[in-house]
Amino acid sequence: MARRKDARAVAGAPPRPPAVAATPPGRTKTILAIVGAALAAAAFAWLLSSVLIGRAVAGRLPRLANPIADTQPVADAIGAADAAARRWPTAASVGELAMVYHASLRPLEAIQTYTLATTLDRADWRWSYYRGLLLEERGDQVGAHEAFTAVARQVPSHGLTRFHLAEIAFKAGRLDEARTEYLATRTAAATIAPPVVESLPPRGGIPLGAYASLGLARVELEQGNRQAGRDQLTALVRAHPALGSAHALRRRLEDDGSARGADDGRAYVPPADPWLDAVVSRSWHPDLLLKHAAIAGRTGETVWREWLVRRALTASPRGLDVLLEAAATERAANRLTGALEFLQQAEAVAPDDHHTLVESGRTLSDLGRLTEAEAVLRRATRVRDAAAEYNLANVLDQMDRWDEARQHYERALVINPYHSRAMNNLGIGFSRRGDLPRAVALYQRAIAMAPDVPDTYTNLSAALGGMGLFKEALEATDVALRLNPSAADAHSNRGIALAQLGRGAEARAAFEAALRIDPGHTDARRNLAAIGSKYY
Amino acid sequence: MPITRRVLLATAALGALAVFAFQLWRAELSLGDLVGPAQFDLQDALAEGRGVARGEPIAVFAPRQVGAAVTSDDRPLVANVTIVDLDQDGRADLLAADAATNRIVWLQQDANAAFTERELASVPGPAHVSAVDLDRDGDLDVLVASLGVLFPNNAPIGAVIVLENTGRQQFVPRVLVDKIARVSDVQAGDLDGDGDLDLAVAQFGYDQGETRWLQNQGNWRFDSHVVHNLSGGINAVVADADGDGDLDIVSLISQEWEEIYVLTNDGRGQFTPVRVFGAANEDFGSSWITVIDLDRDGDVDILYSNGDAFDYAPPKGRGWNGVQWLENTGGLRFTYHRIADYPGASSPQAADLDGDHDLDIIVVSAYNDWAKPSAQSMVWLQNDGSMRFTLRDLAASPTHLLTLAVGDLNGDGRPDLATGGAHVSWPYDRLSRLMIWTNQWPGARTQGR
Repeated sequence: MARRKDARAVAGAPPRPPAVAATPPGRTKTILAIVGAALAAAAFAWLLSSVLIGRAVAGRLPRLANPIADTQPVADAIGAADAAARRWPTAASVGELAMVYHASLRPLEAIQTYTLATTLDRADWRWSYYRGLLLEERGDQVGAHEAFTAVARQVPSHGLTRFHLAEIAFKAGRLDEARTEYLATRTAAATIAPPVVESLPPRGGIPLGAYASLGLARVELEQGNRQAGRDQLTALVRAHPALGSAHALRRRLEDDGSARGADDGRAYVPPADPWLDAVVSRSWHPDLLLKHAAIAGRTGETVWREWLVRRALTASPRGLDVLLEAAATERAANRLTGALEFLQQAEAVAPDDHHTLVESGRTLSDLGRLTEAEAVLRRATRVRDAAAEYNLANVLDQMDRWDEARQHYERALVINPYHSRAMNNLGIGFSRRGDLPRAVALYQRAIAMAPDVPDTYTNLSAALGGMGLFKEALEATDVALRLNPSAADAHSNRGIALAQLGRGAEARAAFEAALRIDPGHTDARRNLAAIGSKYY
Repeated sequence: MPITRRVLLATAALGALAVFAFQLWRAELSLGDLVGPAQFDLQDALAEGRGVARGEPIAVFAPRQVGAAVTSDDRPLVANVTIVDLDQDGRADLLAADAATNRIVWLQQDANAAFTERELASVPGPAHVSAVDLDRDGDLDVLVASLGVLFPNNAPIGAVIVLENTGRQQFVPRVLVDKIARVSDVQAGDLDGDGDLDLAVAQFGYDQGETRWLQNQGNWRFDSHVVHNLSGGINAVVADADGDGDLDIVSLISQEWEEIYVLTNDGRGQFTPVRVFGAANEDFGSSWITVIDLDRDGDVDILYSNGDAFDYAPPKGRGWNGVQWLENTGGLRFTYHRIADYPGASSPQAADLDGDHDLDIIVVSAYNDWAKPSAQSMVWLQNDGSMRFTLRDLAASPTHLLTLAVGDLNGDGRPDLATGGAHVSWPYDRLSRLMIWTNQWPGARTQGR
């Protein structure tokens, strides 16, 4: 059939364009309107539900006591964080409140609030991590394992999480799992940026991998692989001599009775944790701050320790434990006058506390204020306490009141028959007064009690040398120098013993070593000169 | 309404509902949760087993100081106390390890309920004391664990000492082993199944420590066997932990390890250590275990406190200190149950204090926040019969209680208490050395364990 011609074409008018598929302008608008409405409704629903859910979450926040039964700084911190979380309950504000509870040693509230923060933002693994730390702290290994497992799923390369999982598995006897997690800890990349807290000093410490290695060594030992465990521990103590637990385990395997090194007895310190530091940085609770200050004292992190103590002093300026820790921190930094000020404040808080009096007396003695030290220490000795007796004896000894000093050293030994420093000092007193056999006996007792104190061996070597027992004296200096290669007196005594044994060249080297360490060492200088004239 | 508008509204409503539902699912909430308040308080924590209900304080014990009087310049330090009828005259006495004066003392009760103190021996750093007829001659001898010195020291100054009862309440000291890592506990039991009593020994040491057993060869000769090499041993309790009929050693290890082991016995004195609990918190502060069938299901459980505070100067309890029990579920598996937080918790004991046929728990504290007048030195965890506990304050004075014993002191069938004070830190305003606490709960009678 022929196409109908357009009538207009027949009539000569220009042809209409051909008709296309029907999309009138109205339909596009309709579709756009529907999509727009849906999006707007979704956005509105999102907003409304967020608000409602936030309010529901806020309703689940821990009930705040009124007043909050804590010190004012802690109460203020909790109050402020709680108000912020209730006003606008987001994951961030609720998480912040949880951290403040955590920092304020309110574990139940913190655990609950971390859980709430997680529901608001599942992507933020920190809340599960912190909850895991709290549960682990309280012995709930099962709960902690669940929390850390959730974190590991989100951030498998978070070394600290893998370490906690390893420790929990080890404690539960799941040794293969523990091994896997310790290995994962060692290889975890440091790609997770730790939180930055501007006010905190930088931290150091033993690397996490070392702790993982310690764990692996324990796994080996527990599985009966003694040699493998021993090899792990040997490598570990070589690389990280400050890891005291590794020394203790290794020595148990070696059992060769050798004297310890200076690092052997270091108390265990947990691995550094910047996430936990972020909690600690929020704390105004002296107990938490002092716990971490004690750890910092063990690791020698002076700046971190001082930061914590300063904060604890702000929170609790008259807390006895805070003042004593502040004094100890000042002593560690050799700021004795500062230490004394804190101790005097502590005495004002607790006038009958003999421990404080002993510390005050000790500090006064170190400052050379011996008369004041004696007065304070006599007050301390009203209580039957070995430390008080010993320190009083020490002061009297320095004042050259030997008979009185001797009485108090002996009283210290009656109270504590194993007081090695009292034995050592008694030995020095007898040695100075020419009673060398008695001195030797006391030094040997002291060594039996504390075999890792180099000074005792140095003193013993001097007494043995005085008795003409130069071979034995030399052996004593050998041990002293093994424990402390920088002991100038030990080098000097060694030189004397060697010289007397006819080993002039070695004696010369020993005196020179003493002078390198202490150029003002008069005995070494004199003896070196004597050696020079005799042998060269 | 035009179709378009209806479609519009329907789409918008569906979209909003979908988003709403998604949000609720993500937050693990229901619609009802959005409506009413659901304030968190401790009830939630209780339901999840993380806290303990607090009951009203209760005054059912009448306290009395016994033994040597205490002056304000004294700093008593009793490391261990036990209730035992040492002279077998039908009246309970006290035995105590006085670490302040390095003595073992006996407080002998007479017919007038007066206690007369007598020194049995001088022992350096006594940590644990108990009575047992070790030589099977019909009278009770005294077993002593000697640390040498109470405060940290790694020197081999520990010893196991027996005060042999010669028959007329004269006690002759015998050193069974010495010059070893500091000894914190010694307990008797027939470990090799040969009919005599051997000894399980916990050695705290410091960096080095171990657990050993002393095999009784008769005539006061003992062979020593080290069975476990870890420092920090606090308790070595003899009990059949695996239910196989022989006696094992349940060992609490503190220091940085914080673990509990069952050293399983093959019946002939060969022991294999099995770790049944370990806290990954190296500062957990393990302080004591008591092995007892707490839930009365026929096997022994482990009642366990963590409250040691000697890592701090001055010593002070921490928020994670408290009491828990490890429920024996067979096959050397133990399920952990936290019971209560309690700073400085030490020496938990179990007894039916209220006569309701279940075992309650009493705990003392040596390291609470004594600056607060309300800080408790002794609390009672009252069992409701279903192993749910309510904490009741028992005493805020005296402070610094380290050791606790339970026994019927006055023969009335009710379990009484004895405590020892350890005043190693300030304040010194509420001192005690040895105290007895007579149970006056109406109707309570000793049920046995």
